[in-house]
Amino acid sequence: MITNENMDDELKDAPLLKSMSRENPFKVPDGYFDSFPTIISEKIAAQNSKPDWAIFLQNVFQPKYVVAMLVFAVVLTSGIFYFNEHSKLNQQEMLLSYDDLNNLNYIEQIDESDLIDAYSSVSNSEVYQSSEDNSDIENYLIDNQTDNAIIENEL
Amino acid sequence: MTDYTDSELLEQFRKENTRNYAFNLIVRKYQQKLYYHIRKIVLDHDDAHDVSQNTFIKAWKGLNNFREDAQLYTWLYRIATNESFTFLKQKKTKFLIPLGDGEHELSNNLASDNNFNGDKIQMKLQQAILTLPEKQRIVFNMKYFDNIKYEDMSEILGTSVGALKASYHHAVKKIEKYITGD
Repeated sequence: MITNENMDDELKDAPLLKSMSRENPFKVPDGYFDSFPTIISEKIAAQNSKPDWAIFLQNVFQPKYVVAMLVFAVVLTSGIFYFNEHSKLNQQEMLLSYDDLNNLNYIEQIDESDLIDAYSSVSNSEVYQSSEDNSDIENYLIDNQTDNAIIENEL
Repeated sequence: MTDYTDSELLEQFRKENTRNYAFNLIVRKYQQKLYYHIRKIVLDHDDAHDVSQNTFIKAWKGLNNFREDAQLYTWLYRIATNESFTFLKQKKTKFLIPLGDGEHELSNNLASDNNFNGDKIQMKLQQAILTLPEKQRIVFNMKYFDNIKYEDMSEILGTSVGALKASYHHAVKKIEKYITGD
């Protein structure tokens, strides 16, 4: 059991501390301890009357979380805004290219005969190439004395 | 007000119809002890008021799970001590007080505190206490002013009795030296 005597023993090397008054030097406003239990009761009643979702929101919207959420919201909004602007720009570029064509009457300026010549030159080269391929095949068949009837049967 | 024992108060607290009444009695029984314990750590009255409120709200929330392995008053003191140190840490962060300057800040606040009615030597004693490390400070306050048993202190602070005695001995020597101006 610790008593005041024990305590004084512990202060034997500290005469000044031993001689000092151990009265509480701190004071409180008048009637403070009369009103304090009521303050606590009111606080507890307020907490108990809060629905669960309000307590949840209160916990979620703590300052430290709000800052993080705001930063995230700003980054997300900026990202969406940037993406939208970028895709709008591409669409506008495409529309502009059609407009340019119309404005320049580009298609109207093309001579139809040039188109026909271009098309026929492509077709001729294809026909020429295919006939060349056929003659090669015929020569191969002749060289190897292949019977046409066998090939027809196979086909 | 009838003086109930802690066990009687806890029994009443566990009953739904007497819970609020029992807690009100617990607050009335321990408010002064806890307030002054907190006040000696945070020094300012408004801060002590806030921390005292937090302490009792936490006690209200946790009292349902309180098993009587510990004494009610040591359990309440432990909450109050933790809340006080948490408060001081938050205050340092909030007002961007550099590490180690918190005690200087507290000392300045104490000098201008209207709710401090100690004389010159008591002011010097409080300033001497503020020079101690956090744990030594609290051990000194609990022993010197409140004469709390080392065994109870051990329960509150989670430190061995031997370490607490050594801590108090060092604190006494440092404070005596500070006051005598050696």
